[in-house]
Amino acid sequence: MGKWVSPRELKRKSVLGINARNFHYLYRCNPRKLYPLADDKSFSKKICESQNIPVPKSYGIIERYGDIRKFKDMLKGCPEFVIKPARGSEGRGILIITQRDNDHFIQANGHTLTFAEIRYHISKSWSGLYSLGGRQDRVIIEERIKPHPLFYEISNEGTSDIRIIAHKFYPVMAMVRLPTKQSKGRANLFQGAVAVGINMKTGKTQGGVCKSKSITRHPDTTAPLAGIDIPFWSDMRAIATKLSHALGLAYVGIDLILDVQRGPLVLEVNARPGLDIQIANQCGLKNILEPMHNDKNG
Amino acid sequence: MKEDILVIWTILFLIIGGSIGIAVRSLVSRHAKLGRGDSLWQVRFQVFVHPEKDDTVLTMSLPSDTIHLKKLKQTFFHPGFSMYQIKKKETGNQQVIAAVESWRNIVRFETDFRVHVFPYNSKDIESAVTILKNDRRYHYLRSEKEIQVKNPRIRSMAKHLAEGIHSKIMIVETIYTYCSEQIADGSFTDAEDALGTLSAHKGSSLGRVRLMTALCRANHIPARLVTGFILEEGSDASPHYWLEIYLKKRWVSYDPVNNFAKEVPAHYLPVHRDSIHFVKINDKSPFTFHCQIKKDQTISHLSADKNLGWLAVFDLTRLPLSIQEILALLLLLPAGALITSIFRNLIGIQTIGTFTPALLALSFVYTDWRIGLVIFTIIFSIGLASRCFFDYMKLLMIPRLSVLLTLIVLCLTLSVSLLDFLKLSLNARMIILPIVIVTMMIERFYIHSEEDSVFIAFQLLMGTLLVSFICFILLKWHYMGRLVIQFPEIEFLIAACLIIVGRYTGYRVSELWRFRDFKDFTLFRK
Repeated sequence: MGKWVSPRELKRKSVLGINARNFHYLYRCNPRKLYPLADDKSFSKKICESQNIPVPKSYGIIERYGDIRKFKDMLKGCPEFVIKPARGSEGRGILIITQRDNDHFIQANGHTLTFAEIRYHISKSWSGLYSLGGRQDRVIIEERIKPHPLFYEISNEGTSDIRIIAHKFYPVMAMVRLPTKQSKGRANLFQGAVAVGINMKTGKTQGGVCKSKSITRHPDTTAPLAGIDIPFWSDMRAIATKLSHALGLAYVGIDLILDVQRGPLVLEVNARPGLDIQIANQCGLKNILEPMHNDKNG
Repeated sequence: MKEDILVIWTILFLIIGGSIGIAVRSLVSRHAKLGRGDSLWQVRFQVFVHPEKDDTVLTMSLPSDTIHLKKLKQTFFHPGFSMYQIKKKETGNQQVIAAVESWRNIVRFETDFRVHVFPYNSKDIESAVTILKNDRRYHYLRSEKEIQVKNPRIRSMAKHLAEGIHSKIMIVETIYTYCSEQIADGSFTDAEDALGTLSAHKGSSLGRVRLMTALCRANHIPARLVTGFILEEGSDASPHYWLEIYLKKRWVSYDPVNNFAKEVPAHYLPVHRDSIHFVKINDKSPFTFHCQIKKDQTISHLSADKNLGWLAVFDLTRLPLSIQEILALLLLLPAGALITSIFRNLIGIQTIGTFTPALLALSFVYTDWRIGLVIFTIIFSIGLASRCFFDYMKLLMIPRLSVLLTLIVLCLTLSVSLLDFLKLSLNARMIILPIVIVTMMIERFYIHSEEDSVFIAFQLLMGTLLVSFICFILLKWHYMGRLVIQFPEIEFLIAACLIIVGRYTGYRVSELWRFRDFKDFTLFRK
């Protein structure tokens, strides 16, 4: 019982729970009709492009089952690419190919896939295996962004990304998600990736969490997590403000990836961002969100 | 603000409306004229045998349905018996035959069943027509050791009672009047055979019934003894005896002991016909028999007052009990959904699907939950193994799910057959195991284990089974089932609770663990 925290303590530290998040912020701030703009990566990509917000280049989108046979043509001359279901969540169904050897494709985790296996993965994604609600989906094939070497020094696995939560179109909290061996190279916190908080003003990392437990060093490389300056930080904040405004979602999580040349690119938008960001930042969201929420309502 | 007011008023309306409905219904039923109506009884037969040989066989008669009552379900418990089978006899008796496994220990054979007693109307309903063949007719006219049809005194009395009467019905009426009014009621120490009862003009209840049987047979009217129980509360009920007389192609019941002619009350439960020995051991090993009878109090409310008119639509207790059972499960499903909501929103236990636990619990209601759980585990494991295999076949999603469904249907069908072969608790209704839901559960489990981790997938599965178990306890609880039938307004209260849970914005219990590190965070940054 000693390891548990009391509700009073959480309230005192203004931790936002999932019920409160859903009730006060998701249901009140995010109209249901706008969810597809966030849930469907192809829609959010179009919005980004219309707002001149950089996104990874798309090689093609598979909308109908018959399009699956065309995907080989989409990949002509592309040794590396990413296949992702348009309505997937939490990184499910994403296939990252880093090398190609004729009809053999090597994943980020080192596994080799044949052409038939990739085609099967696309058809599974198209059928809705990874999509929210299990509905039929679209499949996006896009360029693979080479991770910024800054994060590679801390986590030598997979692709890191940065999440910024915006409320009322204003960035309020952010974290870096670093893959680990346990997460098999994916920045998926459920699977054991590390989340590191970011100071909103300075863009410097602070704290860290892995599987809801606070840590100070990366579990694989033991590199310290705090005190790292995030490059292009002000650009990321500006993107978060602009994109959340364009989407019309007043409570949203925006995932960005850092390209060494092009700077931050938007990977996806999350209409239901998780709450581990609070542990990563060692700070509750409530006393940040409430004044903004009440002020607008005032 | 408007939204909060709307919610508060809705909750108040549901709580007040539900409470008023329950209160009014309670008042009305208290003052309503109660007529004869359905009742439910729970009966248990227990036989303890001390086998003296290794080939001891137990034969026991089981109660049969009548025009007034019906056995709803029967279960057996027979540790120490290696097998049993049920045979139906010509008399309509059902008999169970079981062989003892070990002849050194005292072994027990037990059967539980529920009996539904109908409201009856003797003018409308008669017993079934039975054609008695000659050999059976002679059988029911025979002389026995305790029914001394050929004894001169019996024959003389039979002739005397039938003198001047040509109608068989009138002869029976005269015999009945004689046995019920002229023969004194004795105790179990008094004569138990026909001749002894006639000689003493006094006999035990068995003696009087045997006398009436002998007198009928002496007048060439087929008659047979019936051994059974009167359904009244008792921890160790004793058998009661009455007889059936073959008149106008029907078996008509008489009880000269309790003064019932032409029919016996609805709560007479016949177990064995033509003999008092409804429990037999082939090698005369000693045994004891016990019968426990208990009334199901929650349906002591009887059929609807006819003066209610169209309002009777709101009285579910007037419906036949078989329909009430199904409606009770239906009415309890929202309670299952409430339990799922509490586990998810208050405690923080995730499940595979929102209504999966309640629907899974529903399927376990119709079978022994342990057997149901074993079958579910086997089917789930086979389904999961097959899912891995289907992945290699690279099938598209819908056909893949359909093949999985086909496999699960086959497994379930074989399980039902296997249970019957092993003589285990079987109810064909267990096949309503939500096949589609189990198929989707396997699919989601596989995806979670592939995309997240096996641990997370198992966590979800265990959460689902835990909530399902809690829902099962609720659905299986007869008292709750009867309560919602009696007071369907409880659904209003459940809806109010669901709204309250839906508006709960506090922390989930799981978050007290998830955010436990906040206990140590002394400096929190903004």
